[in-house]
Formats: sequence, C-alpha cells, structure tokens
Amino acid sequence: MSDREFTIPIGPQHPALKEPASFLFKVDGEVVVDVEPRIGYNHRGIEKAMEARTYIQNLYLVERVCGICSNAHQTLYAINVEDVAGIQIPPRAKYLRMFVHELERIHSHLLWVGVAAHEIGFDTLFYYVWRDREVVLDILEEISGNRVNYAWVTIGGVRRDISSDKIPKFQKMLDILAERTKYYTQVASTESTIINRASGVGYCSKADMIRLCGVGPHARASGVNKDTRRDNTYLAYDEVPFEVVTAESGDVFANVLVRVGELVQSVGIAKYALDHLPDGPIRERFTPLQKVPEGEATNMVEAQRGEDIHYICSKGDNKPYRYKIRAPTLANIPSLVVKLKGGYIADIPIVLAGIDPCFSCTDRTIFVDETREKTWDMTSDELRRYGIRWYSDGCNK
Amino acid sequence: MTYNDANMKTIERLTVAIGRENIIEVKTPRDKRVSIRVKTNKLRDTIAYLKEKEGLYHLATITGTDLGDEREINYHLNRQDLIFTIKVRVPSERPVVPSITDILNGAVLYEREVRDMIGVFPEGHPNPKRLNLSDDWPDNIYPLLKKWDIKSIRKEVDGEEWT
Repeated sequence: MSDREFTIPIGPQHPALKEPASFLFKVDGEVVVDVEPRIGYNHRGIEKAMEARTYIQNLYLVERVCGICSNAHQTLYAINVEDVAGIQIPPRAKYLRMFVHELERIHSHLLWVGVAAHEIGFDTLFYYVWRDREVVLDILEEISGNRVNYAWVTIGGVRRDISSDKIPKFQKMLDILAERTKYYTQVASTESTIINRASGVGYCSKADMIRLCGVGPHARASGVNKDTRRDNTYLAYDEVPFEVVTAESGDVFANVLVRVGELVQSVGIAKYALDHLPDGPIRERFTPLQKVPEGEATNMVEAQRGEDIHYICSKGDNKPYRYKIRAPTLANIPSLVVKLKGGYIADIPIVLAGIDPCFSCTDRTIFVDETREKTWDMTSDELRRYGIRWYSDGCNK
Repeated sequence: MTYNDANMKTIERLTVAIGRENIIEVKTPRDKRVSIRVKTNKLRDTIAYLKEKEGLYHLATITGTDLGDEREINYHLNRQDLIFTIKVRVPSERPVVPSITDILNGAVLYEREVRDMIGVFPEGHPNPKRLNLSDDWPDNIYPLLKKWDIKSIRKEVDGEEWT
C-alpha cells in the first residue's frame, strides 16, 4: 500500500439509507480504488422462521421482509403457493393485485427520486416529490388502511375489494400523479443541477451489468432491456399496454431518467387496471391449516428495485419445507461495486443511493488514516455537505 | 413455435451436449419452467453450455435445501421465456460443490450465502468469506440445516436455555 492509500470503512451503521450494511473502501487520495461489501447486519432468519409457520401465518411474515416492497414480496409469495397448490385466482383479484403492486412502485420511486434529489443537493425537488408522494399514499391508506404493509394479498386472491363509488376519486388522484410525473420527466432530463451532478457519476457498462447479473431499474439504466413484468409475465401484465424504460449512459443520471420514466408507465398501468377492473369474486378459498401438495415452484416478480425471486419446496404439509427469498438489492451489489470503483469519495452517497439499496445508511462514517493511525468521524450530513462543497468548488477538475 | 416447444428444444440440445447419462431428472411443472437435476461433476459443463449456447447467462440466485443425508443446491437461471433451475445433490458428509463464479460472475455473493446458511462449500471461490453471519458465529452451525432450531442454536451460541 502506498502512503496515499487509505482504508475507509463505511458502515455497518449507515451508508446511504436507513438500514445497516458495510462497505470497506480503499482510497487513493480522493479516488476509490477498491470496495469490499459485507452484509447480514439485518439478518433476521426469516427463511428459517417460515419453515415453522403455516402458509397463512407466513403471508404476514413475508410482508415484513421489507418495508418499502412489502406488497411485492407478499404478491410473489402468494403466486408461489398458488403455483404449488394449483389454485387459479379470479381475474378481478389479478387486477386488484396489480393495482396495488403499481401504486407501491409509484410511492417507492417517488421516495427514491426525493432521496436522490436530496443527495444531489437539490432540496426543492425533494420537497416537491415527497409532497406528491402523499397522493399515492392517501390512495393506499384509503383502500388498505395503511401507508405501508397493506396486507392486501392473500393466498387465492386479495383480502379486500375496492367499491365502485371510490374509483372516480382514485382516477382523479391518479390524474394529478400523471401530470406531476410528466413534469418530473421533463425536470429530470433538462434541469442542469441534476445533469451536472449526476451524469458520468457511478458508471457501469452494459457488458459488466449483464456479466454481474444486475436487475431492475439499476440494470435498465445501463441499457439492459429486461423487465419481469413483460418477460416472465405474471398477474395480468400481458393484457396491459406499457413500455419498458431503459437508458444507455449507465450512470446515476440514467438511474434518475429510468425511474421517472417508469413512474409515468406505472401511473398508466394503475389507471388501466382501474378502468378495466373485471367483475366477479376477489378470492378462492384457502383455509388457515390447508395442506399444500408436494412440489416445487420458482417465480419472479418485478419489485421496485428489480427482479425478486422466491423458491418454494413443499413436502405436502401445511408449512413450507423450504422457502427461499432473494431480494433485488443482493443481486445489485456486485455491479454497485463496479460503479463505486474509480469514483470519488464525494460520490459515494449518491452512487449508493443510486441502486435504491434496501439496507444501510450514512449516519456516521469513520475515516481511518492507516499510516498515521488517526481516525475521525463524519455524519451523513457532513459527508453530504462535503460532496456538495467538493463539486461546487470545482476541486475535481 | 410456442415458448414450450422452444424450451423442450433447449432440454434436448442440453441432453446431447452433456450426455443423457449425466442427467438424473427432468421436470417441466408448467409453461416456462424447467428444472433439471445433473451429476455434480457435470455442473460446470451444464452452466457453461447454457450460458454460451442457450442465452441463459442471468443467474437469479442459488438455493440450498437440507434433505437429510443429502443437500440439494438449485441454480436458478432465467431468460425472457424461461426460468431454468439446475439441481445438484451432494452428500451431507462431504458438502462441496465446484464454484461457478468464474463462469457466471454474478454468483459471487450467492455462493457465499449458501456456504453460510447451509454449509455447502464452493470449491474454487475467489473469496470464500462469511457474508450473512457474524464473524464470531460458531463454525459448526449452519442455521438452515434441519437439525438446528432456534432453541439449539441459542444454547450453542449463548450457552443458555431458550425461555
């Protein structure tokens, strides 16, 4: 190690968002030379716990895998169990599931755009976006009673119906979102604050992204045209017209473009689902202690952060023999490492935030100068201010 | 040609490429789903063939299952029209599989996860360190094995009874 190279541990408490993960950065001056990720600080043993619970109990456990993509995991769990049990769900249930699935994507992407705007130092956009996020959260609260963890899906269908007299009101709210998201696509592609700060930062080529099996908006930002909703279609996505949004530049700016583009598409899907809601029952019967025949199933859904895959193995009991969950963030860590390498320390928060990681945050970063045995702390605010100062002073030129 | 025909063709070509005697079981539970169990020594050949010739270069994840005397490892690959699962089984006395990280670079974290949780070692992995479990976790406990439950893990790790 030359005397210019330092090791900076970021985490386990708090790299960019609100959950723990650890990244060991090796830096030469301001440039990141190497990154070693370490996860598991939030490991709760959910897969093991699921083996000890019945299928209906697991429905509520699996929803708590993640706070933001709770419905995506629950939908996928229900699809998986129905696949093994051979249950066909009614068409109305498919559309109702799809409606909440898309609302959740809208709220998550709006949340992300706000966080990204904040990391960039563009707090006006952050306030705008989070104000509009309340609209979609109001819809979710009205139909499920909750802003997150909707408990909307059950095995065989959905738990509640949407009454027809509420649909015009929801349509009106979605119209507001449609208009606002169109405005954000325009802001994101023309506003110089975003372009100057985010373009060229955190680059990963298409070849690297494919090689490292990246997923979701993160992969689509590098030009990988892959979306589970279109490719391995589920629910009623094969009946809905929508486009898969991709970008070519592979940097944080492309991430912003893809996510705001998807917002417009998601609002469209949600409106379509409400307009074309079929009549009929909302669920098939599945009793609390019902046994599921022996078998295996693997299914995927497109969660907000990318392809989410679950595997179930049943041995004919009322509990799963093995249940495996792979959330999209784990699939995106190898390509995240590529994005961080060669970048500046000041870019770490925005690149980490770029994959919308489902763990971690930068409350406190310890800088270690190994050659001088000196350490000092930086809070997330200081690190963020440092990033903004670094760019506004033009030190990177 | 429907998706299903295309998938059957994939299975046929794979059978020719790695040899019928090396394939133990083929299942097609429904449209767009294939699962094939192969001999462990043919795992790398199978993965390399599917990656190069069939466009199955995306590894979604790796699952380990404890079956008692054996441990089953599932490699979930996918492409646009197909979720393709390759299975291998290894004896519990010697739970070692060849690493596929050099073929599919995306396997780098999944193999470490399987090692942590179910104790199947990826032979030839470039960096086989702990991923999910803490550094002071006992070496002999792989929590997803059926012989461990919350009580016995607690007793082994903390030395106290679960209450």
